[in-house]
Amino acid sequence: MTMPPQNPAPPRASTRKLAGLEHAMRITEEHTPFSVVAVLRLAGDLSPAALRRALDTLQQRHPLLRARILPAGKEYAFHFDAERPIALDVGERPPADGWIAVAQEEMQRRLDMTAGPLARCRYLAGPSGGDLIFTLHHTIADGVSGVHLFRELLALCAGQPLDEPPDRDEGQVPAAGLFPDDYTGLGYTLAAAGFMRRQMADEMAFRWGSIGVRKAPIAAAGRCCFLPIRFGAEITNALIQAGRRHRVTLNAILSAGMLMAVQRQLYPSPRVPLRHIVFADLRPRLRRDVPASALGCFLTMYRFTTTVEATRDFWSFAGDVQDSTMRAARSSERYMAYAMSPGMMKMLFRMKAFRMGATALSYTGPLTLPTDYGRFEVTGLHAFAGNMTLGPEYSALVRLFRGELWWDILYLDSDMDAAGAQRIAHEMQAILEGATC
Amino acid sequence: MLIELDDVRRTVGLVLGRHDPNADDRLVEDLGAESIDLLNIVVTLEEKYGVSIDEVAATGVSTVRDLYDLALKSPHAAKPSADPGRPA
Repeated sequence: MTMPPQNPAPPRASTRKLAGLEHAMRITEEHTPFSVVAVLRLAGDLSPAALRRALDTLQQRHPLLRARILPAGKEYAFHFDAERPIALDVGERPPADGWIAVAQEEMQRRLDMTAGPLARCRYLAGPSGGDLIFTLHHTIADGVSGVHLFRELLALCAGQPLDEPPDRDEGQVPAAGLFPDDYTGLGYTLAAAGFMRRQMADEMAFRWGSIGVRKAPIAAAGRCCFLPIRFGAEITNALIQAGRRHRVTLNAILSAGMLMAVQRQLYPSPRVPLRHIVFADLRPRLRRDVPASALGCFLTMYRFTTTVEATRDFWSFAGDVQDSTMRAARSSERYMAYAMSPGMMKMLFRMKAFRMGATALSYTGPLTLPTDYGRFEVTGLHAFAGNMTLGPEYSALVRLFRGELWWDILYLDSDMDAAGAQRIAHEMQAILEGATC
Repeated sequence: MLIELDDVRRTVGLVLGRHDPNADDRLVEDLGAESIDLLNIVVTLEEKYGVSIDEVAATGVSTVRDLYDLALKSPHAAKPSADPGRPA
């Protein structure tokens, strides 16, 4: 199955240095596979031949699907000249939740950074549908561009035309190259100094508050394990309505539920500072529009410490989580956290003395992927982002799909077993259900 | 209460602390709204007009005008009449 590229959309430059969070992700790849594994659950008839053709067309369309990453001095650069096609393995669909084990295997298997492409596909075909497992390196996709890519892939599989031309600038400029004018030159230097000051203050507060509190273990190795759960339409709607009454966003509500559950299950102290990570899309806040159709990772992450108290009222705590997120968003943090993440990752791996956080949550809102493609339909979408033993203990990607909240929880087997992860999930659901009463 | 585009514009301006935003201004890109601001705008419009705005649709809103259109489509929305002589 070779794919000689026919008239591929040419990138304007043949190489481009990685920057900010992209660079941090590539540094992480030195220690652990850092991919995003997405699983499209399909009902109906999708032929492997149609999938092969669609993957080839996609690869011609997207320079980042023809990218590989090579060292460039002490840094790394994308080279848009990977020659191999996107690998497609076709196998038999395992029964029930058998896709979870296969997707976990995919997370463990590294993509070949130097040869590329930074994507591969596995299709588990059954008599009445299949599971399409797409592995992408995190440097080339995030929640927004990833979902758009799947939209294109499925449309091509169904023989539908794509409604947008390829983006000629895809892969050419990192988010850091599009920061608003306030965060360039002297503005950048001042913002970076402010960011460092806030980070140091947060570190001091965290260390002071953590005296006598359980310290998260740092294992030599750990395997990513997946736990997908769903909140039904009733609790989902109740959370949305309660959030409106209390003026708290769904992102903050879910983060608060996760933090409280982790505190109850992993940190027995009545009052414990925990570090939480949330993610935000930089696209709407850049100097020029970056369309969702352009592959790339335009994420940033906010990391903050919040004190979780066993007896605290849920809504007051969720309000605090929201305030912490908004403080970060309204300061320069969204840009500085992106730009300065390579330094943080280097320090993290050099010292191996602390973990990035206890929890991490990425709520991407309603899924914008059409589900009906004629001969087949999407019945579910799962996505998991890689983690490591210096990363958060409990993390999740969450989205709203068909009126329900789909949680894709990820934990490491060096931190807990499946029963332990399940206990935290149950605790979280109980906390959030209780909050709607 | 009748939903008017000018009134939605004023509400958005008040929540975001912006003077007289345009109907075609984008809430996030042009007016700098954060997620909590969007939530506050939706809840304010719900309370003001007695409508119920769907979460999925609200997330897809881009401009002030989109927000107005969404409020109009909501259950119990009192729509302005195309014919000023006809009751809405």
